[in-house]
Amino acid sequence: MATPRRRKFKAEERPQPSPTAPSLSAFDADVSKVAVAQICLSAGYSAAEPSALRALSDISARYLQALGFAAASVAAAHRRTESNLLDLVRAIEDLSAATGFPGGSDPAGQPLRSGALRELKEFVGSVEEIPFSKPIPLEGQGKAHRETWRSFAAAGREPPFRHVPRWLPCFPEEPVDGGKKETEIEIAIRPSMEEEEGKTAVELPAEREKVRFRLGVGKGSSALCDGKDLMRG
Amino acid sequence: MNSSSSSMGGDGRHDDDAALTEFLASLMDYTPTIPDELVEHYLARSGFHCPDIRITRLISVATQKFISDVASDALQHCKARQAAPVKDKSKQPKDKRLVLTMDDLSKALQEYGVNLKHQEYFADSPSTGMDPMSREE
Repeated sequence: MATPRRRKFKAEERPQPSPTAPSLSAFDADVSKVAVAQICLSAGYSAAEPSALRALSDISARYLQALGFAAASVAAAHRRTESNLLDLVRAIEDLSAATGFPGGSDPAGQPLRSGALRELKEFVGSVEEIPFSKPIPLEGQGKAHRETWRSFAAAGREPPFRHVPRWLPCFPEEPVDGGKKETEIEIAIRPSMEEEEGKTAVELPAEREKVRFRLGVGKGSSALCDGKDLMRG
Repeated sequence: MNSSSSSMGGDGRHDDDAALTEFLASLMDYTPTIPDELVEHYLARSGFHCPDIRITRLISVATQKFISDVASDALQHCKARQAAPVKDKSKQPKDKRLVLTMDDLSKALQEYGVNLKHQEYFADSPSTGMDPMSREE
């Protein structure tokens, strides 16, 4: 049985998926696929199998999360909520334990002089800059996420319900029409909703012709409702 | 190595700190391939919190280095496979294009402790493709 022909495509010509795609959760996967494809291009590849690219971008996302998680746990172990450079160096050393780095065998080495950091410096110095190819239309959402929350007590407001304590963050405010700038994704979703509302809001004309029908009592007629149904109402 | 570094004292540490500060400052000029928004999204998902953007850039550079290491290892596997003598002449002009395949990727990731296995194809039933004699059994 012949092996199926594998689809091949050039890494540089891959079209960017539209940001108004229905599944928003796959957006970060698509963005990381483009970034990984660019890195493979700079490494010397001219094409990539779609499954291999998908696998590598998934692994890179997991590596990123693993780095963040390791740094956060090192900071938490030292009774801190914000990670700093030392935590990050420790996390990088932990994750590069599989391949190793110079000076890794010295447990008392100073973290700021670690071999892993030196290798990173050499990498930055040797590799050309490859900026991301497409613009990401998420600036509006990014700013909203960076706003720090304030509790009801700090904002000087009373919570709307009695069971909500005052030290909790304020509820998000309802979007006011005409106030906030809509993101592209919202604009894509909104027109379809308005169309549906337009269909149901049709007014019936004042004078309508009368509709007459007979309940199935006559002979040979296929009764839609029996007398028994009428009794049940 | 540790004793020599401690005997250097303040001077050595000063040089290292200066080099590190310079490196962190250079990170702001260097644009990593992985965009900052994506990195911040994944870091927020994993519970990492740091207001310093240089740390975020350092993480994205570390990830970029990891991916480029894996890609270059896979490239070496690909080139090693092409260097083997190929008797079929029709395949040779196509070989100049380097394609990232699942095989090369799984071999490269093996060294990094990631086990990647890929199904060649999916069959309808367990007995698909078997001998008709053994299938009846």
